[in-house]
Amino acid sequence: MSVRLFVRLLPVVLGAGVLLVPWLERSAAQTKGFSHTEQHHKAKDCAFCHKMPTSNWPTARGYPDVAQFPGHASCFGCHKTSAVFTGGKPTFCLGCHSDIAPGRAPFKKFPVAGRAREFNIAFPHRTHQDLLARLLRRGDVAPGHFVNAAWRPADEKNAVRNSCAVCHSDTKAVPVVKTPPIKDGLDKVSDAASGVAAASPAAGFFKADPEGHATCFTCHYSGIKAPSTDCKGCHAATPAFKPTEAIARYSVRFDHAREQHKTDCMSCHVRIAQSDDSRALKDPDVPLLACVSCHGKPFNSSDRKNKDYWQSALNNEIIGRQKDKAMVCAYCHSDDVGRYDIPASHIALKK
Amino acid sequence: MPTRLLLLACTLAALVGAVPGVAQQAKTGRASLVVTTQVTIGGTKLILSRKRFFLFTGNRGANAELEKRVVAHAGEFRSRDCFYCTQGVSKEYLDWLRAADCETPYCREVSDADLKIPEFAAAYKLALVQYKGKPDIARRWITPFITAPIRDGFYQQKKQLQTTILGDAKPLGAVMTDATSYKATFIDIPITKPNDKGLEAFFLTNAVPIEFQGKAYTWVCPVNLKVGNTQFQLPTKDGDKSCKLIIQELPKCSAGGCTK
Repeated sequence: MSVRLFVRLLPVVLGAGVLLVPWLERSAAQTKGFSHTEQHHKAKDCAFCHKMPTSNWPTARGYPDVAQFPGHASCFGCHKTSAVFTGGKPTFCLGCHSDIAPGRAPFKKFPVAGRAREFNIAFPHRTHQDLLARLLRRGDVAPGHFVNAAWRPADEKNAVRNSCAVCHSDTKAVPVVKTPPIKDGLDKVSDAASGVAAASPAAGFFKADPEGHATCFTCHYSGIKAPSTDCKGCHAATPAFKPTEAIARYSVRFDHAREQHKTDCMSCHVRIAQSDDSRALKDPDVPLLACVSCHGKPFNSSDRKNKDYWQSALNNEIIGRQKDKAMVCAYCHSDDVGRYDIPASHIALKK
Repeated sequence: MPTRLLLLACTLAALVGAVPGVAQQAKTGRASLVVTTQVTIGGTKLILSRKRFFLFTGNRGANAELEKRVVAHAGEFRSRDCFYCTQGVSKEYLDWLRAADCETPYCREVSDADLKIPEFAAAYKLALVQYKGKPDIARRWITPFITAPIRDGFYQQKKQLQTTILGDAKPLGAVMTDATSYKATFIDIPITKPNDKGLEAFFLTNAVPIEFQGKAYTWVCPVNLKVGNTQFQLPTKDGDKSCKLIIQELPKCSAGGCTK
């Protein structure tokens, strides 16, 4: 009896299974969209789908790069073609194609603007100091995908002596600035903003991060590790994130373009130069020690109108705070930062 | 009354006991060390731009093995000229490196005029094929097509020597001098076991000889640091500031070989 029942039910179970499997694939593709971090995708090597360089690089980028979505074989090597339809519409295809119609299926621009990113880049500054010296950046190649931040292209005349300028040039547009988290358990000395706003930066105030692969590939296209075909050599998968365009600054009043500040980047950016991963830095990249080599000399009697005031900035601000606890430190900081308790690092360097 | 006296005595004893504790606590913290490398030795003013220095925890005794290795391997350093000379590079290639005190072709961009240099010309030819006839990309992205020994061989050689010298010694910090003040700044140095003067022993060395105008310089220096900043100028003589200073004449490139 049980055998008969099993035989009768078998076609029903198999039929349901056949119907269910594509439905599950389709469901995942539609509700979540494509994700590099999905376990089956993560198990593949990047080269399983991505070709480096893609054939369209001469027109899309101007330099050899991954400038296009992977081909159909990458998707349908695993996914069933029946999985592309939802309610009669080929929604699966819309991950890469902007339109699906008989006879035409134009691609979306790669990478898709506004789509969440799934990779971070790890740049070991410590390693690169040894190799670089005086290479100049060129800004005439199209930006790529992975690195989005942009400060501004450098004054190339002055960049000659700075290896950092290979990647970090002056910004052309003033970026949005945000206050980094205040650490060390410091408290605000006043709640309301005192009206000491951020300085009004002009061109050259900030520095840019490299955009796309062009800078990296200048040396890493092939030959030395990591070559352009080894995505994991530089990129690490992360949960999907929307990159912020805002840059974080404790001292929004430091102007890179100011004549007195045109020195070797290494004179001030000493913490990052010792770092393998700038994201892991717990303290500001530029320690206060770098500032007081010029600022903070002991001219305590100077007032703000005095031409020597800049030399006494640190001392004056600390003394001012001691006299008036609600005073906002404004020489270097906007009020978002300057109304917090003075950190121990500053007090230690007061003359 | 005796109870009050006892309480007073106990309070005073506690305060007296607490004072050294407070003093001890005040001495621990973070230190920084600014190493000034602009010194004149034997009439030569050293300009040590982008040169690496290492800082180790512990005194000279604790770093005795490291010091032995630094001294023992100093003679193995091959100069830039000597390295490229034995690789058989053209005079033009060596001159290009010398012109901006470059150690490798990554040092600066290869210009159109530089493409006449035999090594660059050969690489450019290969690059043009790879980069689909785009001359600007082929010129700027030329380094992958320069043969490995004359591309990053000198760097790899120095790195190998550095690995040998450092051995299992783990530096607390590795810092390069800047290109304007020629200073190396170490920061975030933990002062955890200061002596009664608030000082803690560290060990400073460049480990791999630094090449400058035909000579190689190696420093090995014990340094005492305290919470706050310490300035340290490299000594100009062996034995100054308890430092060891090794100065070597570097071989010169001649007829495809290196001669002293």
